[in-house]
Amino acid sequence: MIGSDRSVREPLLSIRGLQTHFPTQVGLVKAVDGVDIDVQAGECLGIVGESGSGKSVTFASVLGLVRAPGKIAGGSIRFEGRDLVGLPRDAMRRIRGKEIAITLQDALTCLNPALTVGAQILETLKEHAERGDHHGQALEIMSLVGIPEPAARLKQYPHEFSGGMRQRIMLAIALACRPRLLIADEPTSALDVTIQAQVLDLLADLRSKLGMTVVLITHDLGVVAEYCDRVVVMYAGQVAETGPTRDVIANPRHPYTRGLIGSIPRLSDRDHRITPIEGQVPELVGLGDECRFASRCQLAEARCHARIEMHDLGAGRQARCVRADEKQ
Amino acid sequence: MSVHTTGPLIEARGLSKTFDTRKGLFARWMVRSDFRVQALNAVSFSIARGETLGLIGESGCGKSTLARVLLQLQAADDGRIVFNGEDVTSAAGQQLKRMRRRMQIIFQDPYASLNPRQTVEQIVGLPLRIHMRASRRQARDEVAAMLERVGLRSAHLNRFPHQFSGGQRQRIGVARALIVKPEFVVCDEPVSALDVSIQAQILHLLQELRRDFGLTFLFIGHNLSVVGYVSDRMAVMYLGEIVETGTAREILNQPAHPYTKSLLAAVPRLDAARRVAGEARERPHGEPASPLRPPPGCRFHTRCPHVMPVCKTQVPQTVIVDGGASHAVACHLYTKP
Repeated sequence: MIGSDRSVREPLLSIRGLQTHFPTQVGLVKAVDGVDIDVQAGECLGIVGESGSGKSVTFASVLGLVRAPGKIAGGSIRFEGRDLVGLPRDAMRRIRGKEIAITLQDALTCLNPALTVGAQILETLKEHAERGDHHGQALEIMSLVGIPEPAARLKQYPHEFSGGMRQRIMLAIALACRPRLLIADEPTSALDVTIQAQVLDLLADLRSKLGMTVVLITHDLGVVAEYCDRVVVMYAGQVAETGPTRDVIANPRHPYTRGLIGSIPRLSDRDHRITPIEGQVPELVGLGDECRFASRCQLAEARCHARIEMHDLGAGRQARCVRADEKQ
Repeated sequence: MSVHTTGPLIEARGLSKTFDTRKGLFARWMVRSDFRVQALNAVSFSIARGETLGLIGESGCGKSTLARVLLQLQAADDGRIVFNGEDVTSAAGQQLKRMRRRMQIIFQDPYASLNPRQTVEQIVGLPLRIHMRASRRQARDEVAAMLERVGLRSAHLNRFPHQFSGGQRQRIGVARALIVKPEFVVCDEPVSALDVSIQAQILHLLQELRRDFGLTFLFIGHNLSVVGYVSDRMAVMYLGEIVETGTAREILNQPAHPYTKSLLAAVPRLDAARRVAGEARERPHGEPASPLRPPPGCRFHTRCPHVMPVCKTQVPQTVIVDGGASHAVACHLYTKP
C-alpha cells in the first residue's frame, strides 16, 4: 500500500495500521482506526483534521502518552527502525524529550506555574543531556527561539510572559535536547494572527537551522499550505488523503478534502461562494469498514458502504475513496 | 413601525470605556498608575439598516467591550449611542426593555452561553415570555417554528444543550436571538469555536436569516477571511481605537493602515503562492502594547514598519483615503501636510 515510487529512503517515523481505542460508557471509541503515516527525515508534514479526527491521539500514541483506560490496540510505530509500541516505560522516557519532542496548544496549562522558565528548561537538559554547561545551553536555546534578554527571562515565571512568548518557551523546552523529530500540536491556535505568523516563521527557521523534522498538527488548512511540504488529511479516526501539499490543495481527490477547501472563505476572492459540508462527524462508536464520510458525501453510492481501501494515486498521493482515481 | 427608514439604524459617537482593574482581591497592593485599562477610546461608526458591519481586531483590542456597550449591557463613560434616530445612551426602565428586544446578541461559545439545566424550549422561549408576554403554549409553537427555521427539528424542544453538537448549539443560540424579531443583532465571534466545515454551515444560515428577516448585523471576529466574507463594510480595531473603515472590498484589496496590511499579511492562506511580492515585509514586529499603558501618539507606532517621528507624539486624525468616499484611515502616512 506504500507508494512504490517513493520510499527510496527509510522514513524517520513510520506508523502502520495504528489502532488507539478508548473504552467509554457508550462503547469502544476507536479514536485512531487503522492509520498509516510516514514521516520522512527533514520534511515538514502537516496533519490536518477537525475535532475528533484522531490527529492528536495518533501522535500522543507515538510518544506513549495515551492515558489508561485508552490503549494502543494494534499496529506498529517504527522510529529509526525501533518499534515504539510496547516499549518499556524507561526506554520510552529516553526517547521522549530527547529524540522526539512535543509542544502543545495551550502553553499556559502545559508550563508549571510554580517553577521558573529556566528551571523547566534545565529539567529537560538534566534528564537527557550529557553533563556540561546546562545553564549556558539554556541561555543559547532561549536566544535561539527569539526571547530577548534571555539571562533575565530565565528567572521569570510563565505568567510573566505573553501568549506568544509562552509558546516560544514551550519550543525552547522541546528543542533543548535538539530532538530529531518535533511534533507541534496546534502550536498557534490560541494565538492572535500576527503572533501566529511570528511563531510559525520561527518554527520554519529553526527547522532549517537545526535540520529538524517537524510534524505540524493543525485544524487550519491555510497553515498547512504556507508551511508544510506534505499533508495528511484525517477524518473520523482515519487518513482520508495524503500527498504533497500543493497538489492536494490544487486537486483534492477525497470528497472530504474538497469539502474542507470549499468551506473556507477566500481572502483574495470575496465573490467565491463557500459550500458547507452538510451534516456532522459520525460518533466514533461501533463504526464498521464503510466509508466514514459517506453520510455527508454527495457522491455516496452503494459500494461506499463496503470496506474502503487506500488508493495509491502515484506521485506520493493516496486517497481513501472508491472514486479517488477519477479526475475532477 | 420605525421612526426613520433611511439613515443609519445604529450609530456610535465617540464611545469611551475605561475599566478600573483595582477592584479585586489584590487592589490595595496595586501601583496607582497601573490600574486603568482604556478598552474603548472615542469609537465612532454607524451601520445602515440591512447592512453588515464587520469588526476585526485581535484579543484585547476592545471589540467585545464595544458590543457590550452598544447593547447597554455596560454603560459607556463617554459618548452616545443613537438607535433608529433615538438617543438611547442612558435608556432605563421600560425604554431599555423595549431596546433590548430590538437588539440581540449571538455569543461565541455555544457551550458556556446555554444554561445546561434548561431545555431548548425554555432557553429559546425565555425572551418571548419576557418581551412578548407569550403564554407557555404560544411560546412553544413559536419556538418549534424557529427551531425548524434554523435547521433543527421541533422534536428537539425537550432536549438539553449537552445532547447537541457545537454547531447545533450555535443554532440554538441563533434561534434565541431571533425569536423576538430584533432589528439589530451583534454576532460576537459566532463561528470561532466551531470546526471549519460547521463554520460554513453557520455562516450560510446567518446570511440567509439576515436576508429573510431584514436584519442589521455587527459581526465581530478575528478571522479576516470569515469577517470579510459576510460583511458589507468593515472596521479594524487596535488597542481600543478604530484605525480603518471601508467597504469589505476596500479593506481586503486596498488596505491603507499599516496594521490592516499586517493583519492581511499574517493570515495563513490556501493560495499562499498568490501572495503579493513584498507582503511579508508588512508583518508587524513585536506584540501589542499593554492597554494599561497605551503608547502616546499612534498606538500602533511601536510595531509599525513605517513609523515616523510624528507617529510617536501626535494622535493621527481620521482622514478619507483617495478613491473611496467611505474609506477612512487614522494614520499619519495619509495626512496631507
